[in-house]
Amino acid sequence: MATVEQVTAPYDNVLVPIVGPGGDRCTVCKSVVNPGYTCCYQCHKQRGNLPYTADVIAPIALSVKGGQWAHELSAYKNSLSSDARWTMTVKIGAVLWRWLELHEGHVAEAAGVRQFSIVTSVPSTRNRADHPLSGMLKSIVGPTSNRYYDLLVANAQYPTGSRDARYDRFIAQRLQGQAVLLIDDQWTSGGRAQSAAAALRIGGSGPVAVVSLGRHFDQNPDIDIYRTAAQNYLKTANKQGWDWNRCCLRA
Amino acid sequence: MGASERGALLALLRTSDRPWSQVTDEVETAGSALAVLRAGPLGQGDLLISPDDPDALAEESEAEIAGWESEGMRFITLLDSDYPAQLLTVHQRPPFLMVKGTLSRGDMRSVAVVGTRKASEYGLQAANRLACELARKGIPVVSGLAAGIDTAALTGALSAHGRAVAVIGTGLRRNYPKENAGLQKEMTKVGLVISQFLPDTPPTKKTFPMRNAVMSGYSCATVVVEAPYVSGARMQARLALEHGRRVFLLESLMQNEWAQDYASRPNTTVVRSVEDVSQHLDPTLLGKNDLVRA
Repeated sequence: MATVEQVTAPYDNVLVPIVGPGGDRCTVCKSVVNPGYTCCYQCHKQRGNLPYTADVIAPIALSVKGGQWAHELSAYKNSLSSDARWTMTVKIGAVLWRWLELHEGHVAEAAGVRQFSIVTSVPSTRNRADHPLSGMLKSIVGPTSNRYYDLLVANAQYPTGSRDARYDRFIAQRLQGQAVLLIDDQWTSGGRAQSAAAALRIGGSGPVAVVSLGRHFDQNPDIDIYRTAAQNYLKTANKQGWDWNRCCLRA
Repeated sequence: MGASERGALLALLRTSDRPWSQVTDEVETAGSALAVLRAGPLGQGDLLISPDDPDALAEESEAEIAGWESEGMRFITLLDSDYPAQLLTVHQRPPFLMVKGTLSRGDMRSVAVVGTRKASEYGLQAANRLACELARKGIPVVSGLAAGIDTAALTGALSAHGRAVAVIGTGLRRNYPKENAGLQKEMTKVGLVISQFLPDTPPTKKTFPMRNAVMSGYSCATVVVEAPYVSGARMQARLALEHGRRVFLLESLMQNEWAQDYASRPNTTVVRSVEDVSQHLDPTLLGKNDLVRA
């Protein structure tokens, strides 16, 4: 048996935090924005495309392209070794467990609810029968296992892997106003997570908060002004350093 | 001979203008090197063969691999079930390994013992004794095949009839340093020699740090025995922490400023004995995978 503390201790050296409130960041997804803007291009676009978007978005850490956390968030699904997939699933599950214990209350407060009665996840859009994230939330992560339900299915009309934000990208089960904690492994453009949040609202949910394990982060985008902003953001994040007691919603 | 996955992977690495790390990600996500190779676009690597015939490229590479295997080397790709699973969990996993010797799944709980080429008598003895004791506890010992601490660690593990694995910074046909040619040969018979390079790759400034990343990823923890500030061993300590692996620093290292700094970081432990090491090995790499709160 391994304890959450044991398994997560090494992540003090692995995780890069989201820049805290007050820094230059997107008000929606908390990632980098260009000087003079409060919301990043993708988040702005999704708000225009969808009837509803998530009430709160709380990424746990940056998923820096080419880095260890980004690798784990991809390889726990894609590795060709079941041993490697399982090891990474346990580790990622432990990180989520520890983070939710410390910060789920902050997410609920930001969503204006006392607690989340239901936890669900963004389903696979690559025809994966059993998404490993769903399995992790059902059977590994203590704080989610007894209130986890697969509420969403991908709409087969859309091509696999599509990242477009659409209100009918996913179809949700009928809900009766419950607040939902929606877990996503990696937030890249946010198109899928926001589509999932919209589907839950259309299905009758109450407030929806997204917790993503990693906010995809490219520190070398092709365009100069983006690159400067990205590198400044990463510098601030690294200077801040990983601290389990801090989350992106609280100073 | 048809177009094989491993042939396709080698052809992809040679002809694609994408970096190896990107090709590795693409192949892992697709679950097939042939699929990625056939999808193109190919780079300018081999002008003799039409770039629109990926299968011919894969077949040619397959023939080359078969030639290496007739010399007793094996070419293992990340698509193969015997590619070491623990190495797949780090972002610097190489797309293929060339190995000579016996693979063992027990290496998941191996410990890397590393240090300087210019070791003191004390350092050599400490490395030898530590490796010997790890081996007696049934913990596989991993090291480079450099002079100094590496050699002392590997010979220590072998002297206790333990499992010893060398991860080298050249191709398998090379011996670096030359004095260790005999040890390298012995390791292929009683242990395992791993290289992430093609067989004739010479040692360069780039190959050793790449090797250190693989050594960290292959083992569940790294012990630094004796090392100055500028050393592959210190670099391996940094990489191991970035991989989420534990780093052990021998107490005698604490006279170095860099080691004092590292000792203050999370997931590092200053050790005096082999017991200090075995107590702190990562439980998720030891097959104890039931997660509990406390």
